Amino acid sequence: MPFNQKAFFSSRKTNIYLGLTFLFIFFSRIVSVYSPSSRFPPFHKILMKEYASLDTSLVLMGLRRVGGELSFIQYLQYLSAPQKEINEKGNTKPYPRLLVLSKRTGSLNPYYHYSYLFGAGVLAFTMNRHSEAIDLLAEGIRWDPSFWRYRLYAGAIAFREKKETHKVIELLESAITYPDCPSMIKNILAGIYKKQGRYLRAAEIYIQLLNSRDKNYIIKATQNLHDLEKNHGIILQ
Amino acid sequence: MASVLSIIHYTFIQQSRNHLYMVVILFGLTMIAASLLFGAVAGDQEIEVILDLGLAVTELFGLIMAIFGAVTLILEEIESKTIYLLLTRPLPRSHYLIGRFFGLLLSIFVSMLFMGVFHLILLFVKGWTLSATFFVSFPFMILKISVITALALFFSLFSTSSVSSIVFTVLFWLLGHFGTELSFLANKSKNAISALGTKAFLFLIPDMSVMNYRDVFTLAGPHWTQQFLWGSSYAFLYCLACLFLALALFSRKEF
Repeated sequence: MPFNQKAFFSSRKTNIYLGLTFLFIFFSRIVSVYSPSSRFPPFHKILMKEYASLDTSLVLMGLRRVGGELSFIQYLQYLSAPQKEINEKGNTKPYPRLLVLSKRTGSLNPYYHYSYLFGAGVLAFTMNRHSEAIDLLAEGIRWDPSFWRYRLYAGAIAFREKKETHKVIELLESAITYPDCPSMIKNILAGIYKKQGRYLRAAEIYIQLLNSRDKNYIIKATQNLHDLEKNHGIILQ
Repeated sequence: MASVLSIIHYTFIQQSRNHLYMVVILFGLTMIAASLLFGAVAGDQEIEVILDLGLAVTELFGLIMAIFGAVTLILEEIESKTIYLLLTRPLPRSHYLIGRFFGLLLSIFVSMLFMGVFHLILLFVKGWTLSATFFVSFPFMILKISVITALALFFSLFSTSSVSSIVFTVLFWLLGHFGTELSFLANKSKNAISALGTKAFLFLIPDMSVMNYRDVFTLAGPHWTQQFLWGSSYAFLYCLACLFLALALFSRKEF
């Protein structure tokens, strides 16, 4: 198929087609610039070198939401196996990469609220790493200041650090009323009630946990309900 | 108009009888089913993972079909010389090109519909509560596929090799999702020439973020109808640009 450049540009019809092409390209760019469509902020920071190619590929494929979820699954897998790191002073730190893994999820999908809430919950309530939890929530707030539940969690974590349990309970009670509340937070709140001897309320929350999509929490809730029934005389209907 | 409709019909039949088409659909269905495995390890986020992964797989397999379909659509006919049978008739080349484009799009939409129905069944089996997100994301995905099909069709006429056409199309798909980052880099750049070059380049590559509702539906922003209006306007204009460019090449092609 020989291509005759001279003949190509000398044709009037071709020139009209080319003119229309440039016109439409120009207008499409105008539409693109002025479009109010929701967009992610630019992906400009690679937090973990070992996942750099994966994360960049996901961004290039337009899969930031899926990327956030896959990264969250990797976070859960990291959490499911024992991990520890020994620093130069000889102290051991369990799960040292929890914060950076959570932030990686956030770098892919900065509006993945569940991931921030879950990550902060794990850091604060199971690892006692309050400052890291607040750091994570602060990042969530930076991306989405209108999502006020971050502040609710931050409040609960601050009170926990000050050992003001009644205020922690108050805030967590508010948190568990929302459908996007991680099962882990419900489990923690039920645990606090059980520790305080408020078995009835603990049982109510464990019953709620039976509807969780996470099978581990269903198993934990069932075991706790059996324990409450057997050892503390709570009658379950 | 009748000739365009005949070519659409003929292209649709041709595509649906293609073995590759069937294989891609089957593979797509398998991958959607595989999203259940990812959902199973996602804890509370099971449904969200199945929903998002399924939509992403549907779009990616639509993309594969669009690229391979568009690239081979005319090239194969030229190589096998069957195109002579059509172009020796009183059929304008523009009608042929438009018919081929819409015929291919139709076959891709039908395959995406199959995958979408299968995905819906899986979601309902897993206890998904009906939400508009799924149904709203689909038209946006179709817009993206339309843009990439038009682009692939242009590259198939621009390049003589199908491999280079595929590479160019994939590259444009990737860059299309990287527009926000390129724009960010251009604004950060201290070199005025490179910043200007990047901004000029942004004119050429498709801006997929305008139509990427599937990825951003949880973000605060205007109502989806407004986003769809802008997205469809963009897709319409960009498709027209690609089709006119393809037509400019095709109208002067000597066989």
